[in-house]
Amino acid sequence: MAVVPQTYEVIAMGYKEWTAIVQLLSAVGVIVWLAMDFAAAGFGNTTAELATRLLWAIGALIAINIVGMILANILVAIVRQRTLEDEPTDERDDMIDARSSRIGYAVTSSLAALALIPLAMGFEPSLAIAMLFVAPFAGGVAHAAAQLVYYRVG
Amino acid sequence: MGKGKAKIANSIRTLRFHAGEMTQAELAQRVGVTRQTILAMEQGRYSPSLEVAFRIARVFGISIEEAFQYEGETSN
Repeated sequence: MAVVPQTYEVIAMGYKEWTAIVQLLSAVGVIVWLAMDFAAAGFGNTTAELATRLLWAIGALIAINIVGMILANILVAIVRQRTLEDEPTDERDDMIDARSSRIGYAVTSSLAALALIPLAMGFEPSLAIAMLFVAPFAGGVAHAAAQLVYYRVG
Repeated sequence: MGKGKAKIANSIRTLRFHAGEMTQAELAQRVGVTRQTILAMEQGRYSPSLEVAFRIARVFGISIEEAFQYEGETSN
């Protein structure tokens, strides 16, 4: 029976929490897809080939985000019998966004700095390019995850 | 500043009850925050700014000390 209030708690989340969940899932999904793609086919023979795949990843991320928010809206509308509408931000939203952004920025900048290591060690630049691309994705994941934690735990 | 986290309790849920079961949404609208923020305050997950605390007290026509109580610091 404890499932009912937990389910309600999830459905009762605000628009910003749903946005964070969708962003988190879509970014994780794209990173996993890229990792599997790189593991199966390598980074590609040319920088152009790698850049093309990364551009597709950006397109996929945008599309998944849009579809994810539509699905979240439909799910919430079915359960709550009203649409999921964005509320104006208040001081708590601003504080959570500031804290989460700081975490996301730290992850992005750390990974971007780490991307220089393979270059310094003389590896192919494709690895560094891939790392530079993944850095903001990982930062986005950290940002969205931190937002969820701050919204749910405080 | 100590290492512990300041804990501020509040009586918002009780105050809403005594104000004719004022809804979280109505209080949020009158204070100028989101309903989620009122919910977080009631559950002790968020301590508002001084300005919002004053606005909440004003909605119920009471002093800030009646709405919010400082409980010292809790160790993390």
